[in-house]
Amino acid sequence: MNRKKTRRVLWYQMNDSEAIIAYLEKMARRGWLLEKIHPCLTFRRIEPENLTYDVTYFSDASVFDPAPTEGQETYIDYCRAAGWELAAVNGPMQIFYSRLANPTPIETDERLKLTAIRKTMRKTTVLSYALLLVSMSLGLYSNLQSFSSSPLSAVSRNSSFCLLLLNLIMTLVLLYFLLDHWLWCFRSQRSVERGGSCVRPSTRPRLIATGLILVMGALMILSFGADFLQPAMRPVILWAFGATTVLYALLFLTISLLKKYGRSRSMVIGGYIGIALLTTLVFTGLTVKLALSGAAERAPALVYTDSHGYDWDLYRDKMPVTLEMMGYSITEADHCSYKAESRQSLLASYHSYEQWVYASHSTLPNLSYTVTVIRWNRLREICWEKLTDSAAVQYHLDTLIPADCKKADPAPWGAKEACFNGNAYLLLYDDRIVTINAGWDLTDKQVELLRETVIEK
Amino acid sequence: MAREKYRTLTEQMFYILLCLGRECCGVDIMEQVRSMTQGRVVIGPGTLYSLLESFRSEGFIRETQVDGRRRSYQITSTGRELLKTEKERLFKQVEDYQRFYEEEPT
Repeated sequence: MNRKKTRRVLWYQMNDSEAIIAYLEKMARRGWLLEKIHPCLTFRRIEPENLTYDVTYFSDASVFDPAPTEGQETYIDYCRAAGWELAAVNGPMQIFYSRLANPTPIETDERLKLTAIRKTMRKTTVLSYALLLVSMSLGLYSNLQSFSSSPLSAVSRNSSFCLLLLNLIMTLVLLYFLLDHWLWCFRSQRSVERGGSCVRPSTRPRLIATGLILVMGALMILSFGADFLQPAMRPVILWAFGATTVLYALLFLTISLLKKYGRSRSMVIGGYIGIALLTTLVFTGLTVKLALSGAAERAPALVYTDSHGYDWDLYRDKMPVTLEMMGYSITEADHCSYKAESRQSLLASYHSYEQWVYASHSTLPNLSYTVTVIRWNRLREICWEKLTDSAAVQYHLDTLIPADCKKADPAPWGAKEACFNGNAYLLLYDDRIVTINAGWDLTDKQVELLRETVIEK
Repeated sequence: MAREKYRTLTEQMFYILLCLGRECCGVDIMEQVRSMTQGRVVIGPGTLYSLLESFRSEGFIRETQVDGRRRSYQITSTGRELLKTEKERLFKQVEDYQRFYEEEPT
């Protein structure tokens, strides 16, 4: 097949000019000439030839410029006079090629070259990495908080756990990128002061770090895919993907249109920030509305409206132990809901059961319990530590168990460890963690029933 | 008074200022310096652009003509002073060299 164009991803760091040049010259020998840098490298078919490439940095230019600035045009004219043709430009990054055998290098003063690269990197890559680092660190903090308050929920959702891992790895990789750039600046400065040239950036570790981010990104998408198989998660995931896609598409379109109609740099930046803020506000509002509407919840068997006019969703799921089995008598007038939920992740399987009584006149207690099977010992221990760490949170949101539980005798439960607070129990077994929330003091017979039907099943 | 970074001129800075003793279009400086130094000093186009912008903002050169994107420049009195100081520094170096070897017993 004789294609006229081909597209490639630019894997190299912006200041790794030597690696970029080597790659572009290899492409030219294969018959491909670069004609566009953004959003990916675009090549057009030429006769295979030995071209010489050079990458330069025009720090006063910006990706928000609708066209090359006047100064940039003059720069390009000077390069043309020296035998260099502009292949492509994206903001401050300019790539030239020459058909001359030994063209004069575009930069012949290493000190000026280093200054231009540093200034460009500070305005582009370093700034975006720093902002991303802040965002990822906040994300990581929020993930860790969420893990502390709901450890069982976090490990039993592929997407929650992968998001935590992704944020952690991204934070570490961004820190590495920034540190590596700072080291590169320091070493280049030292080299230039001694009359040498800018040192080569560390290409291979950077490529490995980028690969790691991509692998994590792929895992993230797979984890969303796995969660998507569970009907309850579908609206949430569809919404998250849809909103993100629309946000990026809007931003891309805004910049493209404003640049196409020749608007000034400040107008393009203003449009970009305006659209980003507006869409974020709209999406946040819609997300809150979606959450409040209960669209992400599965449909109930029936809805009960109490004497105050509040609507309650009632479920009729099968539960291994119910209040009836514990000796309570339930009537229709109690408006009882039987809700069972299960989910499975790569790390854990989680089963939650709730029997709640909604009739305001009813004196019946509520009953809820969860069983989380976590086969990885260390992870189970971490979850247990989080569940029994009263300093972290007051209540664990996924189990409604108070965090300040006291040690209890595990023998009646056949558990390794047990904690309790009032009528709430936290139980640790060899492969699972069980939580029980009963609205009354459990009798020995009821404990036995729970052991047989819920815990040891 | 020249700023600290121009206390010692690089060869490229020196020859650009020397070229601009006469009005000259920016794009022609590269070739002029090459022929002036018989190819010993080569100025890349990116370096030329950066230095011209830097000299202009420091007031060492001034823009004399603008014809589309072709801009011509000429050295200013501050620039001449800078060039002269550099020449004297170089002469001093040569003098020191000669004195050292002339006084050295053979």
